[in-house]
Amino acid sequence: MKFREAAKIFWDYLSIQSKVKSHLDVVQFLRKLPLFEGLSERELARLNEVLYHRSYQTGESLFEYDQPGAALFIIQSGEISIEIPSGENRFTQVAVLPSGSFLGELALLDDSPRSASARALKQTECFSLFRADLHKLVETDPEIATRIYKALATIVGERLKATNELVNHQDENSPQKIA
Amino acid sequence: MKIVRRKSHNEAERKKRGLFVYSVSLVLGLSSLVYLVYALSSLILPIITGVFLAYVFRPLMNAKGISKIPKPLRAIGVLTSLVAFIAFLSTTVAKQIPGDEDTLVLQVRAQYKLNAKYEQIMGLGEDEKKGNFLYQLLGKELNPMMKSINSSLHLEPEEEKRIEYMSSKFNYVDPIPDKYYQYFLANKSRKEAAKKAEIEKEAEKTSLAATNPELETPLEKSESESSLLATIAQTFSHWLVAPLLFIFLLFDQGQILKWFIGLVPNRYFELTLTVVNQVDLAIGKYLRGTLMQCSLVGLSLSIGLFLVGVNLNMAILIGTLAGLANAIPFLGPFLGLIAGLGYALVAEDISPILPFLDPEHIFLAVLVVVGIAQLLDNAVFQPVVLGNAVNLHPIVVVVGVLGASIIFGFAGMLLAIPAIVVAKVIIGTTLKELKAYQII
Repeated sequence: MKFREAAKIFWDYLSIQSKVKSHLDVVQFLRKLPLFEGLSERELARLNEVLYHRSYQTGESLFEYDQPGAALFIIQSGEISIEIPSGENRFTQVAVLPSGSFLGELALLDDSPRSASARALKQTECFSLFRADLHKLVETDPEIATRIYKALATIVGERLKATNELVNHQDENSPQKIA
Repeated sequence: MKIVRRKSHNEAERKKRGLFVYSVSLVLGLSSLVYLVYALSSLILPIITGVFLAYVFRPLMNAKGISKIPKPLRAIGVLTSLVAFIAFLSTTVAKQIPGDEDTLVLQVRAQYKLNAKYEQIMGLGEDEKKGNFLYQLLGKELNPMMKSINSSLHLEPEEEKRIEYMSSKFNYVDPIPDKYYQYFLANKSRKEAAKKAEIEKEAEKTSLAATNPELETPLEKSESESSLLATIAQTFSHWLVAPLLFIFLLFDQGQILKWFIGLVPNRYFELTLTVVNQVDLAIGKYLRGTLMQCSLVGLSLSIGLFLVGVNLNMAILIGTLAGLANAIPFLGPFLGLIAGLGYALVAEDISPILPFLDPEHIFLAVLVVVGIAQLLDNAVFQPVVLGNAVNLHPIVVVVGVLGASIIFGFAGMLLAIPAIVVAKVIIGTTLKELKAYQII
């Protein structure tokens, strides 16, 4: 019995348990995201190796409008405000994203400028996936990369559909409609 | 929708404090870095070598088809193959490094052959002492050079005794060939003749000096001999760092980069990722390309030299040295040429594999082989392998190589261009991205 206790203390001392636990926590968290749907635990663990963990204070910026995008952000905890510029030093908030959401996904495709700014509304923890790392995954782990790109295509397609519907709806209600 | 106002007073204060903290840390960090680089300068080269090798061989770790193998196993595989390759190369090289006695014989052969070739080219045979047109043209410039080469190759009295001893069949089971002994005798008589001429000149000078004392010049000869063993031991203890770094970096699964990125403020996070990635791509392409190009030059030289009759081990040795030296612009090809011609000078009984080659013309054959290797390098290897990886102006290349050779010697020459390329890519990319992110 004493040996087991000693072994447990030694084990805790090495803090491997806590590391494994946090690793599993991240995998469990990633599993719930639509972007990583269909990835096995092993694949999620591999994905976790290329994710960067970032902490943001209240009011701190994740990225700014019109700057080149390089990474996707996944909110682990906290809240992010999406804002578009509306004058000098004035921004209009267009959405608030809770934990479990992701933002800046178009940066995974190319480095075109961000269409909005993102700012932490409270202390926020994020994971970030860098575009070049996803490109490298195509070479090293094609199964993981393909699933992510497929999910990304679905999400972008759905958003495009929603935007089209919104534009059509506005066109129908517009008084200056010609045809 | 709601309107958000930014940049409160508090935030500005915080920024000010942040700027203060960062600038103090930067100054402290930079000054300690400068001190460390100065204090540990002997470790720089081993560290650079270890990091360079790990960096160049990193893609092997992620090569297609082996991604299923656990990473530590892959790292061990890469390390084992590299160690095996280096071991093969160093045993080949070690076999060719002559012992004490062989060096003496080589010295005798080199001196004899050099003089014989010189006399042959300049038309200085027994019956035509005046020399040919070439000699009339260049003799005045080349004679002092030959004289100084000869004086550095002349044997000391103890060494002469040793050669006499080694050539005797009574003392040695395997005495040096009679041909080499004849070379030795020829060299000896040349030395005596030179001595005689020197004495005559000296006598002339003293008679002149009596009337003009300014002509007298002191003979300078200084050779510093430090404890060789201590130097070797010290060098090896420093060089232990290289394989250690290589292993650690190869085992690393991106944690080091993650740690560094973790230090970057959030504002510069995406910018840093982009810069690191672009620099990695450009430098990786350049360094791997250069390594590949040098290997190809070395390989083509080895094959070419082997075909014209250089023995296989020697061809590999010269190819390796010339390939390595090829990393030095302008000077590299010359080093390869000198090594090849040096061998051609002392080589005996050459039997070319190519049937149409005359062993007498090995000099010319070596020149052609080096020329073809350089042509291949410029026309095929560089454009195909390296492409337009990084363009440096020739002036930058020349000044960089010369400057680095003054500061760091041969190692500096070898690493000058990669170092300049690394600096150019880092500075260029950082400035470009800083502008793209509207930071400057």
